[in-house]
Amino acid sequence: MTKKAHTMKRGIALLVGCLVGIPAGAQAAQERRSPLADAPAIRKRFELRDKRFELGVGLTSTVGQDFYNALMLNLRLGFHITDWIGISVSAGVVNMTQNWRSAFNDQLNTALGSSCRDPANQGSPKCVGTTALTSVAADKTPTQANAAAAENRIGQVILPQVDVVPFTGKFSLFGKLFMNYDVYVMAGPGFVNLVKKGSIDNSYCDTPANGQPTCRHDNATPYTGMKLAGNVGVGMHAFANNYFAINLELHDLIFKNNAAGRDVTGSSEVNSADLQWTNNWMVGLNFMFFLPAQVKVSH
Amino acid sequence: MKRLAFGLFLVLANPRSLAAAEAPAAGTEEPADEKASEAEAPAPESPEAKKDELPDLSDEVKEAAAEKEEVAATATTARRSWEDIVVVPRKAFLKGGRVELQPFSAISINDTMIRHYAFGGDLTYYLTDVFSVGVEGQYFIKERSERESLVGFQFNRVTTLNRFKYAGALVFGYVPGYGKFGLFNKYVVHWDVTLNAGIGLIWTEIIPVFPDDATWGNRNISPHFAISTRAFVTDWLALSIGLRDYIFLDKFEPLNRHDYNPPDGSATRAMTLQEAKTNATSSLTQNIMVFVSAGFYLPPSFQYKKPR
Repeated sequence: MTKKAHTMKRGIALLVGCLVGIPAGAQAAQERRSPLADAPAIRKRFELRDKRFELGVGLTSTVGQDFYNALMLNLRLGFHITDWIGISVSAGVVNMTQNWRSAFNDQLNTALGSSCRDPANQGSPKCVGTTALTSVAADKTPTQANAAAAENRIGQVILPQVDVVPFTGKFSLFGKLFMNYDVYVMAGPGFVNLVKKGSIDNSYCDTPANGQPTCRHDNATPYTGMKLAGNVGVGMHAFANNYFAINLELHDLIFKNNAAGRDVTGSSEVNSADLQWTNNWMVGLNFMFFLPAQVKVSH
Repeated sequence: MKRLAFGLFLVLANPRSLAAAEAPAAGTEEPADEKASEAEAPAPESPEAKKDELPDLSDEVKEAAAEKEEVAATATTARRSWEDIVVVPRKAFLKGGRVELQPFSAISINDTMIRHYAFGGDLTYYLTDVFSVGVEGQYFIKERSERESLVGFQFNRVTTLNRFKYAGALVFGYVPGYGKFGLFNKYVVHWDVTLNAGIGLIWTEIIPVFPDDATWGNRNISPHFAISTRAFVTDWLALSIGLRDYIFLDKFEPLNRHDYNPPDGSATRAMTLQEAKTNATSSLTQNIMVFVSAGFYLPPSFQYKKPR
């Protein structure tokens, strides 16, 4: 075969190949899919939660309560059914700060110091005599002690919840230190034990001028006991290693409350009509251990 | 010729092999450049190769072996330079040298008596990917809380409140951390965390206990601190949520405004406006706000200057 004939033969073969190959190639392109099309976003991932228990201890605190905030010792126990869903119980078991007044309550307490119902003020020219602005019985201002005794505070909370973990990842701090983390949302019922401190003196009477004292009831009744609440929130784990994590949680406990223990509706008595829906925020910091300590690695 | 092309392709497809070739591989008996040169050097062409275009399998086996050696040399080099591996390789978003226009809305969270909603914006220039300087401005809308409305009814007292009107500040920012997360292990989202500190002015106004009384405004110096996190959506858009804590010394209406004993000993009376201003009580005020914002970046795109 001459060189010319050989070149010609190759040219024809190339042309035939192209004519046959172009439609087939187009069809193949249509059918071609990326091998990563159905792949998970993260492969070979440490499944830090799947089929693992977590248990730990920490602190949880109320935020923005009207009268008393509570810093509680918190216990948390959970089991992760899969890597993205789990069940857990957080329990603030001991209120370590039963007298932690809110800033508003501090100011209020100062303002209540001038109540004419307070025995210490009953000789005050503002309460008795010709210069009196009001009388002991007529002054609707409760005493500091009575106000405090009627106000409830959170004693304990028990929060069984379902945790859904949509976000998992890792982050770096200062470009060096890195941690795996997850962010979860939670929901469930909550049980909030509202407690009181002190007892209320519900009657205030004028000094009898004509032998017949004028009395006025304070009509305050603290709202206490175990209350059912709705519990929603968000949380995160930051894993220092495969079995230890720092846990942050933010809860919103929604329940009916009358934190002041005083009349709201104007009925002159404290009853269920005075209850109002309240949002009660809590933040928690827990130190969690995950068991078993070994983790699986995803495909 | 074919082998030359194959060798060239290998070199181009694997730039690290060049680096491996340049640096002598520690712990290996043969210098890496020798291996690389083996891979790159064209084999002498034989007359038979010109005649017959069928591939010489024995040559390919040799090339494959050379390639293996090359990969091993590269791996050795990589192990040696593990310090170069960053925690989160290839940031998905670069901010250095760009301007961020960030409209935001916010709500105050720490005052049980009065709530403020804020609307405003940040204009930030990123000096580098982690340092920034900018300005912010915001306008406040007040709302008295339910608790505030009950104080008079339940305790026979009224609250002394100020409303915030507007504020502006110079802000410095630092990004100490960044990362990425998988959303249901389906999508990867990059984010960072930003710390801010700033100083500015906040204008507040007295809310008189008696609505008919005259009011006045205060202008306070207000440092603030902030922490926020930002999720990058596109090359020019990021969504952000954060906390800002503004601290300032505010002046409140005096409690004895209508029960004033003048220093000259005259009868008790209500204060004049000037006397009320003079006798206003100062109190350190914290305004903690939760912000949500959308950040728009200019220029809207960026280019990587480094390979990672």
